[in-house]
Amino acid sequence: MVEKSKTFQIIAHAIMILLCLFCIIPILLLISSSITAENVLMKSGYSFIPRKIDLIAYKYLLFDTNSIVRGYTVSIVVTVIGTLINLTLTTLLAYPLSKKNLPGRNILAFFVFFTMLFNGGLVPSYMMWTQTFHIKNTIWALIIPNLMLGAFNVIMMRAYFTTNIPEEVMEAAKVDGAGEMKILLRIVLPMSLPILATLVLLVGLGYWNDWINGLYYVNKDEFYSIQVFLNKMLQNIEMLRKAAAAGASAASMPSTAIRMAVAVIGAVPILIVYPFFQRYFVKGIVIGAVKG
Amino acid sequence: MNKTSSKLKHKLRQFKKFLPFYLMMLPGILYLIINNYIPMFGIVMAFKKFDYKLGMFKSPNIGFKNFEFLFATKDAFTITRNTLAYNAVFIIIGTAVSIAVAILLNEIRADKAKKMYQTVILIPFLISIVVVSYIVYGFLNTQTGYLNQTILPLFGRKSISWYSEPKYWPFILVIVQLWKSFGYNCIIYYATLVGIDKGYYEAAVIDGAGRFQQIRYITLPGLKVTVITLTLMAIGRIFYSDFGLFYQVPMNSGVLVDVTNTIDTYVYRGLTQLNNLGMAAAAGFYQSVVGFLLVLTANGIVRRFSKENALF
Amino acid sequence: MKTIFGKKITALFLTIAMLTVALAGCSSSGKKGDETQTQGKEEDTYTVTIYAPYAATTEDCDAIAAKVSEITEKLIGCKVELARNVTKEQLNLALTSGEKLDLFYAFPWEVSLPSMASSNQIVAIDDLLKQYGPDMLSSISADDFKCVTVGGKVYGIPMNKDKAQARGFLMDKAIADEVGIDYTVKKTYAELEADLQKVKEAHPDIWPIVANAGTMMRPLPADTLGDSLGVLENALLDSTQIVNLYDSQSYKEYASYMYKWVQNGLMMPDAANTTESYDTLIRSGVGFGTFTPIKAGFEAEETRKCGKDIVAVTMYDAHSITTMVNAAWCIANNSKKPDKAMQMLNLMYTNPEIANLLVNGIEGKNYKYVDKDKNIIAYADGVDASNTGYSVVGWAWPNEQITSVWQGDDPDVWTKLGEFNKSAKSSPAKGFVWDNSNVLNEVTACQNVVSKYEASLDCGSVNPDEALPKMNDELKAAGLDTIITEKQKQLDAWLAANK
Repeated sequence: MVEKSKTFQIIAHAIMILLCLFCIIPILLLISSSITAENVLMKSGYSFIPRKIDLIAYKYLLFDTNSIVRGYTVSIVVTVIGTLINLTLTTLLAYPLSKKNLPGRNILAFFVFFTMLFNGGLVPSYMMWTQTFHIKNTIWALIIPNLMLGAFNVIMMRAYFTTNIPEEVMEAAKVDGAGEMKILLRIVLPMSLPILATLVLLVGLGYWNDWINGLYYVNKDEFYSIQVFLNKMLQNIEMLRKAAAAGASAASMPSTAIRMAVAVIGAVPILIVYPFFQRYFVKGIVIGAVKG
Repeated sequence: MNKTSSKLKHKLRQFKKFLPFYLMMLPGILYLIINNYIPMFGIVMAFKKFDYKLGMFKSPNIGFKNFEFLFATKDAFTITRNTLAYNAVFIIIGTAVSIAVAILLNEIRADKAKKMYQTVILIPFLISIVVVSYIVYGFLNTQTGYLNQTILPLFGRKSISWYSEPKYWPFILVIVQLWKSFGYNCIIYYATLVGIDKGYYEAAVIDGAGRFQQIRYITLPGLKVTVITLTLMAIGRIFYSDFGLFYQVPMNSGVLVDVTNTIDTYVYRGLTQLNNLGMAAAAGFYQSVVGFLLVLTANGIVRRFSKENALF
Repeated sequence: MKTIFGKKITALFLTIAMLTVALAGCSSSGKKGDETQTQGKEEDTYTVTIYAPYAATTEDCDAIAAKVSEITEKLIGCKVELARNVTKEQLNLALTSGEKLDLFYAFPWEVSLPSMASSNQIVAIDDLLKQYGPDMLSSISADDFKCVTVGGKVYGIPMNKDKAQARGFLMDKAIADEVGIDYTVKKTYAELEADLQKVKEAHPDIWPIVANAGTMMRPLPADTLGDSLGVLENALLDSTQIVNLYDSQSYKEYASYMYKWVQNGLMMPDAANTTESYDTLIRSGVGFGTFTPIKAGFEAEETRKCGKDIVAVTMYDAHSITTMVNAAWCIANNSKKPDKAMQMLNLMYTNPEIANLLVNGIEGKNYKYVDKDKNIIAYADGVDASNTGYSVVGWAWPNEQITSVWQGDDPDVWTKLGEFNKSAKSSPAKGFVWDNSNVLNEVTACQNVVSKYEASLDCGSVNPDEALPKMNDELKAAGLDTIITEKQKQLDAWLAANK
């Protein structure tokens, strides 16, 4: 029995290690090609170990430090504010929905869920946000539309509350005379760290990787988040070069390596921050808990 | 008389009791109304010949004319088939793989290794699809791609022009989609598994159940609710496709269109130059309605068998 | 411990609540501010909002708009607001939502002028032109105006850029000289093939022909009549018979040569799926040349782009068709004061100072004079293409020909460009504007068929003997004949009215 179990463990580890390689190897190719000299890349192809290291792509990107630093700043501000607001709204919506005896609970739940199925398209919501709320070319343009509250997160959080917060604890607090808001803040939230951390990661990822809002609502450099900036940059390499009147430096821009470097620069912060939240992930995700 | 007043009183008390909850929900509900519900009126555009001078509501009605282009040729069949088939495969294979890995992960005893595996398989989920398309290109490019340059020569095979061979693409797309999403789904299932009461397993061991019997009779039933919920949600999006996956990853290669064209890419290819709001709105409306009906149906079926597992 | 945590969370929530309130306050007060502002402006000076939808850096936009405003306030009593780097999506959204927008330009390869005109996105400008744009009216030829006329009304001002193109093949001069290619005479495919063979023999590791990021600027003299679905096969001839481009002799000849050249190693295989542009490939020594459209001043421009001396051999003489001319500046339906917009457009077209500001930026900040007498400029000190706050895309502005010349270009480039435009042969259908609104379903379906086959045929990846018949069958099924019939009807009517 013990022997059998040991072989099983070895096989299980082997499979998992293969899967991890499957996940990681493509990303290594990306990084390697971002530091390979352009003409080597063209002639002898992509490889995991750069045949000739050349950091010019990064140099070119960092040459434009202003934009990169500004882009990072915008991204961080947007991600932090956006995630905070999103989490507040999500919590305030999910908590009452987890109350089994709340009148109208099912209708309200459907009201939330329905937004996942139907949408009116880009144009009407653009009109809404720009004409009534005037968010075009402001920092709010990157925060408010679409990303501030997601039905899926509400459903996930509600499921967490119903399964992980015992009714009795809340009842006891109520007997002590605590108001609903106080119960939520003092008792429920401290017990909900896993789901909060999970949502911080998911929502934060949404904000960090978003460039759609930037594409539609912003055309001023000072409001370009790093993703919007990098995206523009991908299109601009061709444009800049075509527009370059007398610049020799423009003619030596390595387009393939830059593309890869851009991808790396955009992903690095996420990869650094992510492990800190990851440990809550498993405990936080509860979906489809038996509802009452 | 007395009865009605006490009923009223009861209702009032009830309302007062729940008032704080409704107040809490107010900001979120307001946001959903502004961001999601009010723009739904834009659906009228699907039935209009849009005139910029007249605006959205005053433009002339033209009935279902905007929808015709979706069904104009035999492409209608191809794009519907592709959209549905790929999504079905993604749902089935995605779920199977994710569950298998989740169970495997759950069985592993070494804690540190377990944590590391979890971390690594989630990394592809963090990468945006545009970047994924560059990575795929790095592997498949005919001249300089890693497969043609290094792997195939190893086996003495000739180069393959990946981007011109439709037969490989159903597999490539499924692999790419799996690569990007299986980690996330796997963690969701794993989280459910961790939540299963250990007592069940102990009891099963006492009854003499082997590992596979435990999985069969405890683990899989424990996942039922999660599978149903996630699948229902996926069905709601079954008429949509990830534009990046079907357009950017195949590098918009024309030869591959038969196996890569979905409703979204068809609409994009057909309408980029036409710039016709009505037709774009019609396509979106069609996708939403079909998805909605499918979810209602699926949810109805689930409801019939186990009421408590239905989404609503 | 728990209470501290609780307090922290409470504080957090309070902050967020306050932020939300502040945001709500901001947006409502901002709205009020806007209203009073616009009201105030309408009383004294109107601001003309200009969108220049092309990828560009925008840092110095506001500074340049301020400089332009100084001039315009004196001349026509209005200010200017300038937005560059506006994507096609943003432009469409702005037009749809009715937000403030006066002037913008439209490229025929992105949005079609007739569809914008028929859906009232832009306004007809005949009367405004007579009243406020006499200079433009006199300097733009009647032929050019026809290209922006829809339903008898003028809807835009064609940019004064290259309005004609020859077709040919550009190549690395050093190698061409080395193997002895004569690029001064016109060549056929067969003659070109012999030249490319020489390159192949001398440099087996260089592809004689490469593509441009998966596309090919095929050297065909066809008049595309708006969208390539139904064309005049040769714009240099007089026939006005509309045919299916993909069923034409010249396309078959082209595709067959491409396929042959891929087979015998002259053309880079699988070019349809490369992402590198031809200049990257030529610069890094992977490729020798590619097909290209040719205009005056072309070789200097390409030399800069590729970082190597470039020459070109002509295959078809310069010709002018509607889509080369109708890239136009338009007045948006959103404009509150179209008259001011037209006055502004007139200044942009005729006032060298304003044109220079809009095209090249601010002297000393973005560019400096190298030779003031000859009007030659270069990047300002410490500035180059990669860090300038204002990128230069001259041809996209109304009139680049009244602006300064960049160092390295021929000092007479504008005169030569003008002569080139004049000497080009006009297509018999030049000035005809195709309106596809009756056949939208067929156009959508055909666009999908074209995107399926075109790139691989253009790049020689598939055998045209097999692929072309299939493509044409599918085009027929998608309704190409209906499109051609409709187009021919419109063209015949137009010819009758304009002869």
